[in-house]
Amino acid sequence: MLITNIIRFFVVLILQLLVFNNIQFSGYINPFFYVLFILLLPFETPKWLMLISSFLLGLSVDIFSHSYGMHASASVFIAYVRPYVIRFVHSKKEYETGVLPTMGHLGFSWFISYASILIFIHSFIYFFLEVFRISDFLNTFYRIIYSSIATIIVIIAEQFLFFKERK
Amino acid sequence: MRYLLHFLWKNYALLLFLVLELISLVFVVNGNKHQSSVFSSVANQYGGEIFTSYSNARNYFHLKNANEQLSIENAYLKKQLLNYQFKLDSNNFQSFAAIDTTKLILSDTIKPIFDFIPAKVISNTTNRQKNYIMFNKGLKHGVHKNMGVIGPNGIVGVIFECSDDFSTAVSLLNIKQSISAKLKNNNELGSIIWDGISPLYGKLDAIENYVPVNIGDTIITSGFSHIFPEGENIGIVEDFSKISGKTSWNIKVRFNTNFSQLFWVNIARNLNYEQQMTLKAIKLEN
Repeated sequence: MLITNIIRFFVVLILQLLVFNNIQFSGYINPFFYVLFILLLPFETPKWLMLISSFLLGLSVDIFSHSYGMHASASVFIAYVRPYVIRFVHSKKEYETGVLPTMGHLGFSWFISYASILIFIHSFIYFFLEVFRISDFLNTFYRIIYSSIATIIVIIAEQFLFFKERK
Repeated sequence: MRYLLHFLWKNYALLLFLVLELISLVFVVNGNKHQSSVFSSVANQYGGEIFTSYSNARNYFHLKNANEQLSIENAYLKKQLLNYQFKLDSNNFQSFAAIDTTKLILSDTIKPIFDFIPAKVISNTTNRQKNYIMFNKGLKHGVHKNMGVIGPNGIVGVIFECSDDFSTAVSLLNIKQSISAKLKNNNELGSIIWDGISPLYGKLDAIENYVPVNIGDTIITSGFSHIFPEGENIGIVEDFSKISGKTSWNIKVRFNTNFSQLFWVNIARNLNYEQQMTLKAIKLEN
């Protein structure tokens, strides 16, 4: 479990930096693939580990994207908010041990609501930090919406590709 | 105390989150120019508002001193005004008398090229290596970056940050500051810097050894930086010595301005600043 997550950390980081940072349509759409790592952390992960690992992940993406601190800030925020979102998005299946927050385990509709909320919050924090003002709210909001949609598509695609049905 | 620790231990996640979030926000503001400048101008605005109330309270105790400084400056300005008045009057007789070319040059320099905005000091330090002074005039009053600030006795600093109502200047007492200056006697150019040791003394750099220097010589602004008008007081030569291995003097300057008792200043606006700066930029490109 631990090793899977450590490998996932680095794979997600490399993919984000080499592949997804170069995908940019009309300056609006930036898919944030690395958020997948935070989404797929097991339910039982202790809070301090979640916070610190997402901070490090965000910081690493930052360093190579020349946006010192913005990804780190957004990642820490959703790592903190994640438990509350999980409680908010009830699941028909129980949260037994061994169940992971993936589409294979908990179903498509659960995953999409859980992922969309967290991704939206993440983009919200990120774009507001990037712009650093409250004027032009509508413009920033469009960027948030488009990026969130792009990230959601990318993450759902990944889930479909690595589908492990477990019942 | 025990309850506090217990409370913190229960909510360690929130605490850790706040710490990490704070660290990343510090990174954001420090590492990115845009965020840095937005943060800096907002901080300037709010800091200014707080400092105004603080300095209002403090200034009450310095009223007598401030009044004395103002009346001395008034007397000096009135004297200057009379001088210019006299010169203007005598120019009216130009067409009838033989034209004196030196008087013609003088009449050109009478044309106003600098405008002065009076301002009150609301925050000042003199004990650090990099000292900054804040004033109660900002963008709304016509203050912009790179304007010179002149105190009652001599120059004080250069504005480097403005918000709507307040502006901050890099004081002369700042190791990163350097002002273009000249000796009044022989117009030799040098630059005034501060070594960070005493708020009373600075250094005049780049005056070559062959230039005759005397203790008590006045040092004034050269006017070549376009930030200060020419001829503003900076200080007097306190001491000078040769530096082995260099061809310039090591001149110790006593500042005219008393930085610890600074209440009222004038911010100098060069009416031709944009013209002169664009012209300078063109020369550099070539």
